[in-house]
Amino acid sequence: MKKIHLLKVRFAWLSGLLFLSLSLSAELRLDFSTARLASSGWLAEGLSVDLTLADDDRLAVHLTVSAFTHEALPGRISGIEFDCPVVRRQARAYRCAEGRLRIADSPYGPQDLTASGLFVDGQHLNLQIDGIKLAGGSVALDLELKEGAWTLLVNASDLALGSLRNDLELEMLPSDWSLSGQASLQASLSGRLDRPEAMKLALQVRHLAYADMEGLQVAEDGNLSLHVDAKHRRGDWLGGVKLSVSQGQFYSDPLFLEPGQTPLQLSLQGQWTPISERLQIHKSQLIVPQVLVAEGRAKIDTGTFRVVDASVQLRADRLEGLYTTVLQPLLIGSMMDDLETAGALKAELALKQGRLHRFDTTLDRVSLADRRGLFALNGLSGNLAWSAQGQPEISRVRIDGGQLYRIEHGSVSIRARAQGEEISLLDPLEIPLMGGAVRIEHLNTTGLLSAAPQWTTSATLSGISLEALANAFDWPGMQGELNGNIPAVNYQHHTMRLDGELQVDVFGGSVRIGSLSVKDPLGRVPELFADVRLADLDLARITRTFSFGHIEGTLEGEIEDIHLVDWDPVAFRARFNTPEGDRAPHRISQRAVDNLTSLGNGLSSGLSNTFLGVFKEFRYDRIELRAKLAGSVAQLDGIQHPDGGYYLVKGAGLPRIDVIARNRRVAWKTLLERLRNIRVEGMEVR
Amino acid sequence: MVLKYPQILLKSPNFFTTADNKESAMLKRILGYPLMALSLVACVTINIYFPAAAAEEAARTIVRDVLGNEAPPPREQPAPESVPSSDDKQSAIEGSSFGLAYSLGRLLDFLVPPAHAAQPDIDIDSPAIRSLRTSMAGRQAGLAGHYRSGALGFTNNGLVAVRDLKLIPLRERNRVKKMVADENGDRKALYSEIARANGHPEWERSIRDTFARVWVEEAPSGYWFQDAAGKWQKK
Repeated sequence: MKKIHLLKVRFAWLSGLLFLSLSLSAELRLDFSTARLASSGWLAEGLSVDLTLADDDRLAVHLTVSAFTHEALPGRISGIEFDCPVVRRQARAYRCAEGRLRIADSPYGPQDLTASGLFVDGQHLNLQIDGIKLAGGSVALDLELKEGAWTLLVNASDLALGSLRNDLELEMLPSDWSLSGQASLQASLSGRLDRPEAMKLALQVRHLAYADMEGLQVAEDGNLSLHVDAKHRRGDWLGGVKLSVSQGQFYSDPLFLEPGQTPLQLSLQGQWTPISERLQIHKSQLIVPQVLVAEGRAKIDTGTFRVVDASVQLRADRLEGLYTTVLQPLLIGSMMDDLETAGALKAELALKQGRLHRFDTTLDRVSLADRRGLFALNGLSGNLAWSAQGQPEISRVRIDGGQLYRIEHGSVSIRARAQGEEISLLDPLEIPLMGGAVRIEHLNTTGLLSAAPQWTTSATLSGISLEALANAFDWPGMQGELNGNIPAVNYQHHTMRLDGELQVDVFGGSVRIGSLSVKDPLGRVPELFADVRLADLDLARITRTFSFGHIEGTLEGEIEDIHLVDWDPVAFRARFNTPEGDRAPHRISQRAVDNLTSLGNGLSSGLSNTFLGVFKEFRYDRIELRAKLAGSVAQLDGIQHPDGGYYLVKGAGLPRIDVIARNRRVAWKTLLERLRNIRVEGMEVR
Repeated sequence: MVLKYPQILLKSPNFFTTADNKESAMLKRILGYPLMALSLVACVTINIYFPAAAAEEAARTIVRDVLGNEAPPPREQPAPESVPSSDDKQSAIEGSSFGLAYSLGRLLDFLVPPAHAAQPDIDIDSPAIRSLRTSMAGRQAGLAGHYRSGALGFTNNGLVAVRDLKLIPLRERNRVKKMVADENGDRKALYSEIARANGHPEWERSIRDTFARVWVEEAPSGYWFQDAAGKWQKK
């Protein structure tokens, strides 16, 4: 506005002088000079006007001003010299066809301009000025004034943005940001008196580069074009903006965009009310190729640049593009920052007072797979809705399958409602898992969006096949089922705790797992704590499964205070023994004796090399092994032997064989080595 | 393990200093002897101190392993006996100014010899620690260039931070930021796991502080680090 005002004042000053001169006399020559000529806001010093009338229609004008200052200008203009050798009067109009304006010095440097114009009176004027040197480029102006209405055309080319910002003191970016690039502008401004009424401009910027001090907002080598078409109505600006970014690298922490062959496009239609500092975007479209298409409307407080209210429809035909460009940078540092994604989605988002208020997302065969292999969800379809307040839409999502820690699950249908930091299941969740299922009756969450989310649920496990579980972890084939009723599963302080017991019906007996908790389950170093009780296990089935060597009898025991770190045991107290009064036949094969001996002492019994080698099986009274692991050392024990050792196998009958171990302390690594060296057929000990 | 004597014993010389009058001295003796006897009973409290020298050695091993060729060649380390580490202050009985208390302390050392154990080792051989070391060493090649450029630096709490984002090409920024997040995740887990593997989760802070110092000591010239005040310095 200041610039427009300036031009108007300049013009009025010039035209006023001309009018005054010509109205004074039609003499051959008129000189007028004054040391100072001033009005509100401006001052001309050393003004001199020389008018020469050649004939009735021709007039030569020579005007000089030694110095001119205006409050809108950043500095003084000096050495002004204007010449218009021929001014022809045409029906009360005066035309200057080949005027020349020279300025020795100005805030924008020396200028040598061509000027032409048509002057009728103070209300009617045409003025063209060409060759204005500004910011390394050139500017041409075309001004038309007609009874208070004015139109200004601006054509600027090759403007250096950095210089332009300094020369015109434009606040296009914060003052501590660097800025460079070349701009061309074609603009048309029109208005009446001091009110602008319409504006059309086309701006092309090449090699745009800007950066803030921290490097959080950066552009490099950007090419863009901006079109603005706006009208002023009753104090409001109405119109539209189109932005097209065809080249460059743009970083707005943490997002990075690099438009490729297809430019990024943004179009806005709206209304700006300066007096109330409100911008209403009635219609908008953002196209980021390969990433998303978004449409929406918004109400923005231009005083604080805060979104008061907004509604956005978003479409990503390739979720991979949306994840890579938008989601992953926002999720860096979380467990979702390294995913392979596929599928498509549509979303409707509502924002209020700068915060997400509601979303409703439609998923179309979305797949998410953690690149570390921790988890995967395949074929998600349906709608996912959330609301900060009020009654949200019901979420209905179907998942074709997935895996968690290599444990694969089948299709799952979820009906739930998500509001604020709470999710509630509307139907129990049935997750098919390894021939059985996990049924989750309810789910309560708190602090879901916080750094420490908490949730509680209950679960029933039924009929989960041990064979499938063994396959998943490359264990030897086992027959049996995993069942359990867990009345409460709590996740709090990054730790999942299970109340109740899991029961594995295996080897003719049962294994009960209790006091189970997992700390940081999807973290870098997960820790597991548990107690396990074994009852009535059939040794014949166990030894057949693990090909340890044949043993008949029953086994019971417990493994207490199990502590796994990154799924490796670092502590436990284990006891395995023959139950008191066991009525099952007690037999042990030569190979099992060899293996047990090897486990206890690290060496084979060498039975086959003795006369006992002819016997393939022996009777035993009792088997007992106790092991306590603390850190890197395991403490082994069994049935106390009078001479200080301990029985692992206490024999019975003839030929009697006892396995007596002497070493009680053994490095855990050594014990694992012994397990690896055991003669096991068809099994890989890990 | 080192014995730490209760404060009452360290202050016990006061009971034996001259008194202004006999009553006062007598009163102090009457009260003093039972208290001293009580303190002799009470002083069997055993505190396990953070083994700073062993932790430093463990940290140096891991840091050199992670930095690989980036680490400067090993230097001669002064014998711990000759130059006690400043971090060992907490486990040392200092100065002769304690006088009688110090002598009583030595007497107690003699009376209770089993409680004075040798400097323990720091175990850095758990599977989780090995896994974290491998992960960090594998990432180092991607980070090294950014350490050298000054884009990244070692913080004074044993982590890595973006020191100057402007030095990272725009296209690489999010990849580098993810590497930094992963590296910090590994480092935090490493400090926690070393403390846990050695049976003292409460050592995590001390281990982290030790690593913070060793990362800087072992960093090659040109790497940036934060001093104690948080100001960036170039090595």
